[in-house]
Amino acid sequence: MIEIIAYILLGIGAACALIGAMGIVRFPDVYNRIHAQTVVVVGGVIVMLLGASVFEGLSSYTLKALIIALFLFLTNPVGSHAIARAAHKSGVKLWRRSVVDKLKEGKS
Amino acid sequence: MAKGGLFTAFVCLWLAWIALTGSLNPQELAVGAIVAAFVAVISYELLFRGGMREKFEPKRWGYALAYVPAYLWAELKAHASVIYLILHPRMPIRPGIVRVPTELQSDFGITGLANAITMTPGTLSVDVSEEESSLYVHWIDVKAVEPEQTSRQIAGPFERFLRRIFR
Repeated sequence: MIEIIAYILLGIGAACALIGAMGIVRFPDVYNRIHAQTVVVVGGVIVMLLGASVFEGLSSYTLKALIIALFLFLTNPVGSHAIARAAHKSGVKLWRRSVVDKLKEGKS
Repeated sequence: MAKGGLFTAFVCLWLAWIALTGSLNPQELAVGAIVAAFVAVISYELLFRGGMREKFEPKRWGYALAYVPAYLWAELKAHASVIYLILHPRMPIRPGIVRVPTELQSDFGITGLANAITMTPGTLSVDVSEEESSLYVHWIDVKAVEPEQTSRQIAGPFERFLRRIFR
């Protein structure tokens, strides 16, 4: 039973990683690609780490996997935010069919 | 109060070290204690501002616990919608950067809100404006531009809890 749950989690993680990778290819600009990257990290990596820890049961590996998941959870948004902010500050344009850019309107 | 913060930081860091090394070997524990003490001395002032007593108020921890399922639900919905956008053949995205006003005042609260927004796929905080007390958020599927609407739709699920956790 526990194995089945672990396999389901690993499967969801693998599917999210694949779909997120497709999103990184398909989406048009930096900002949209970061959304796809979030799918890879949260839905892919963190869910897979949870699956691995369910598989392993209570052991030091589980503890490590959970701590890695926690640190990814805390650091990933910082990285995404830094990339997006740096891109906007250095003048990377939004996709041409973007609807609105309040940040640019406010600053100019 | 400062001593309490230093001690708490040391204990948390040492526990993280023990969990990551995964052994109770005395040598590892000793090195961990030295490293944890060093890092705690440098960083405790950043981690623990204000009194220690209010950090352990049970009500705040209760809200923090209640935040977990609400957050997971928001995460699940956001994943579903972005996966739909990726797999849709015509990719019906309407991206844009909108202003999201927030009521949160404390640094930790605003950081928590910005991180939660970035961690849910579909919304990504690009900039923070302290004068306007609002976040600029890149939204992959802009449904509204008016500040009240964006605040309700993007920040709403998190703000309710964060307002009570980080006062």
